[in-house]
Amino acid sequence: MEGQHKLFNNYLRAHCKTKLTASQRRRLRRKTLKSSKDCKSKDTEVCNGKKNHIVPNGELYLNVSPILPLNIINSSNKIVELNTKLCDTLNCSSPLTKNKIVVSNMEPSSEAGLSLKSRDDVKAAREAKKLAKQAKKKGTTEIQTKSETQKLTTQKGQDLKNPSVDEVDRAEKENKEKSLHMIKEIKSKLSDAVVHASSKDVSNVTVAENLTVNDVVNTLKDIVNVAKNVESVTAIVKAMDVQKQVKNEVKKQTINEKTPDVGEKKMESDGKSKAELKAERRAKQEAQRAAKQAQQQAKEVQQKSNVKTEQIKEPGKKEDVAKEKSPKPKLIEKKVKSQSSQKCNWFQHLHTEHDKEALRDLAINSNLHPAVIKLGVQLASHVVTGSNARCIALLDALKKMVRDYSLPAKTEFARGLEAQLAASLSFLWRMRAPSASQVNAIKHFRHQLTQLPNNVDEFDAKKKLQEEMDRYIREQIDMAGEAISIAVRNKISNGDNILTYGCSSLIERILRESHEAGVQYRAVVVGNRVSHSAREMLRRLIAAGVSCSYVDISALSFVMKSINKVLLGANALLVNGSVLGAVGTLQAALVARAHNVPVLVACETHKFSDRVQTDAFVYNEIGDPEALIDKSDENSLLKDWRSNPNLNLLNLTYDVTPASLVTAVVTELAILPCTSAPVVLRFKTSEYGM
Amino acid sequence: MSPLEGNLQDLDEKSIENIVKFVSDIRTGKLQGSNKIAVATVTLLEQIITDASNTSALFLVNAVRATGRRITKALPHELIAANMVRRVLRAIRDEQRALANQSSEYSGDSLQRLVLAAPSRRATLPSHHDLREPIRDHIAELLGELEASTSAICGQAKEHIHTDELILTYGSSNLVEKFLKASGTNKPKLLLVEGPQHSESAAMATRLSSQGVSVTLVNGAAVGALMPRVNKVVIGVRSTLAGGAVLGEAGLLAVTTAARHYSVPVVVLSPLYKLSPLHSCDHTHFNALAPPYTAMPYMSGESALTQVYAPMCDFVPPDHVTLFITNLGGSSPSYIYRLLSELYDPNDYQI
Repeated sequence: MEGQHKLFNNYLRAHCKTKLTASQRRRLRRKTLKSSKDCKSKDTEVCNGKKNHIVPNGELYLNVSPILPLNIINSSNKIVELNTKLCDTLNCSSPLTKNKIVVSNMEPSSEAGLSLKSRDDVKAAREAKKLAKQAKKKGTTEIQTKSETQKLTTQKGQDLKNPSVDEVDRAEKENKEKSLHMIKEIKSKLSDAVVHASSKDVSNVTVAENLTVNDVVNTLKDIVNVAKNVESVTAIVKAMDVQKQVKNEVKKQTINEKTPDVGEKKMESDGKSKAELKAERRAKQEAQRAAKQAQQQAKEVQQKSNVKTEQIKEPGKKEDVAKEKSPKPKLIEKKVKSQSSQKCNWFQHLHTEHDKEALRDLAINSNLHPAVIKLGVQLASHVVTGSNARCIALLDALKKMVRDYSLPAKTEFARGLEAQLAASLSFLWRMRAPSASQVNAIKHFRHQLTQLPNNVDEFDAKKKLQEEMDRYIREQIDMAGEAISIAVRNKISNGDNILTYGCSSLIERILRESHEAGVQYRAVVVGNRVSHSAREMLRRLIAAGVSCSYVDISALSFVMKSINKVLLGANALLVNGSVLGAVGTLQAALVARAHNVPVLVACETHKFSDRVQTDAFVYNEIGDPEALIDKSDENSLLKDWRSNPNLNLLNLTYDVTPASLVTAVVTELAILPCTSAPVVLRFKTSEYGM
Repeated sequence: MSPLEGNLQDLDEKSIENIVKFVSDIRTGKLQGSNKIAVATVTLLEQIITDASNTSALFLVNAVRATGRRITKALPHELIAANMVRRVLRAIRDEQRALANQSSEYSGDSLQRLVLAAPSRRATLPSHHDLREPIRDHIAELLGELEASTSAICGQAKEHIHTDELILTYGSSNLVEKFLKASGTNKPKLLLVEGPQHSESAAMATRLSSQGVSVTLVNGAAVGALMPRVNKVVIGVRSTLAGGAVLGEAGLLAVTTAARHYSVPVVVLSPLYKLSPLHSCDHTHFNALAPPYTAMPYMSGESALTQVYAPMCDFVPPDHVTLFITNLGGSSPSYIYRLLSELYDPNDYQI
């Protein structure tokens, strides 16, 4: 009954979506593989090449169990159906299946003690599904594995059911350990019996006739049939050591405490005289009764303990209830979402909590370096924006972190720092998703970290790392910017109108330096109403003395006729040649293409990313939707947009300009076509190992 | 009767007063919305015809044309007013022709015959006949058409919008708003891209969303990024030019360029009164600059040293438009000339 209950739980849970960590998955796989191996060896041992023949007694037990699931699997691959079938068979309370299930149930129990989360169930179920497919190919042997994994899930489900109830858990664990022990004993015993039985093949015939694979399934419903068969077999054989019998009985009794049927089968497996059989049966019945009592008692105890813990933890109980019901509310939530997010459900995957909410649950008393926390806040509140600025700020914070890092005792420097780094980064990335420049900088940093010799002095290592970071900023950002500036300057001639979109530190530098170099040109800055970055750009250019025009993005086509070159900044250059830029970059490139104006993208190679993206939907950041509301307008109609389920404001951060719209990318290496991005990346990998 | 033929007599005081009032109403913004302007123009012309001292066709044509000239001079951007003048002129000519027992050979003419038609119409204009009554009937018909044009276009909504479609529209347009509402059970999702007059877009978004249309408001910069997802671009325009080009709100060209790049069909809602028999080939025609504060507030420090442009219109070439939807149904840009020839007399293309 318990097994059935577990199964049922598993069945119910099989639908809730969950994650299994890689390590857990690996462990699981290893486990299942191992058990399948076990099963295989057992099978060969038992059957001696006659898989589907039921040999008397011990063999019957061993042989049936792998066959039964096979039959089920043959009828359907699906785990759910398997589950139900198993449930059905359990309902029939066949001793055979029960035996098997109990056995398999117990095997993974040591693992189930890992207190896995509810999500693991499904993963495990999937694993089982996969295995089922494999099993179909490989044959009977592996099926046991499957049922085992399945049992594993049920076990976990069981664990889950009352995660907070420690006492029960402990009791269960004990039970499992016990049963594990028992199972081992049984196995060894069985193998003995098999050896014994195989010497008397004579008796096989009758049984084999009666018990084909299908028959087994049929007879599962009827214990009596099986018993009769066994009886007849035993009557024919009539040769058995009394000692062994006794042994078996003893074993059976011990087993019966947990699993009475195992014992029963076991006992029957040895041939006996009729009188002996009678006596045996009596003893069996007694044992069964005792086992039932024990079970009941155990149940009562469990229930009591449950009640106790429930009484103790009233809120805990509520939690439990909530957890148990969790799949339902989830569904409802989804429905609600799909209704309300009629709104804009194609950006649902991007709808992470807005940055402000990230700030709210800021860990203040963490082990993070204050510079890191400061940077996190700056990133989240968009104080530090722009690819280069974010990269420099990150390296700066890391430099401070490295400087103040104190190595714990008995730790390797690189490993200790790596742990600290990982914690800091996970915090930072939670504040705002990393830009390509940041990712590359971190890659470089990590590379440097691994390059450190094992027994490096702490002081030396810190110095080395800080120097390395300084060098990165100098070479990858500063000098690269200078090289690009010179390259672009040569492309700007007197009297040109240069259009640029948004704000980019690199473009600003190019324009400023070209102006200082004496090139006479006019900069046309294009911005949009929502982000004020273009105004910032304009401010900087005016401060540098560049003659500027400003238009809104809606006037793009109005000015484009008079533009000679379009100069765009980029957040990242993707490996397929697409340019990830501030939203509106694509628009500028499109209009420029329509007017046959060359588009130059200025991008240092440290912004080259190994990601690939063909549209702006797969990866993007949702900016603050409130920015769309006109702040100067007191009674803007959009103010209460959140209360309107049909109204949604969308403020994208990036868009992706395909390589076909970009004439060339100006990097510090050369002026290249966009499609050369992978070449640059490969070059950099070989050069810097990042 | 080409426009340069003959001297146009001066209008009387009262008519001039009416015209001035009409022009100032539009300039001060009292009169807004293309449909209202069209109706006001027609009523003004009706008034002038009623008040005319001479009832001969020649006199009436001259009076209406003089009014048209004044209006177009004062309001060069109100192409609709000029269109209405042309429509009334056409009505007068039709009446006169009917009177002279001529077949109205211009209605339903082929392009070739239009080109080859001899411009010797003047001699056939007999005087001394009170044409005002039948002309008033024509004008009443015209007013009825103006009134029904919106519903006629909206009635076609279900033919063009299928269920759960993602429609992109630009700026704000009453017609588009009604069109989307009329799509009713098909429940399109609207991606509303705000134009330079963002407050109007916001108002349109709130109105539509309160009526159950799911609206997502985005800035004009995101058009390119979002366009791959869009099923159709539905836009309202200021005016449709001969040849199928379109004058629309500033920024429209960028939107249609993106649509063209992603091969998204662009549907232009253009009632017949917006059809102008004028040609243009670039954005400087029929354009004007809005006050620059719409792009950048005067108060900002950088505005002192910057040239700021805020154009009002965008010229969209005919190849960016997939379909026009007029009162009469859908038509391709290349068919616009035909509609024009049915609406106006070629002699009135230039007022």
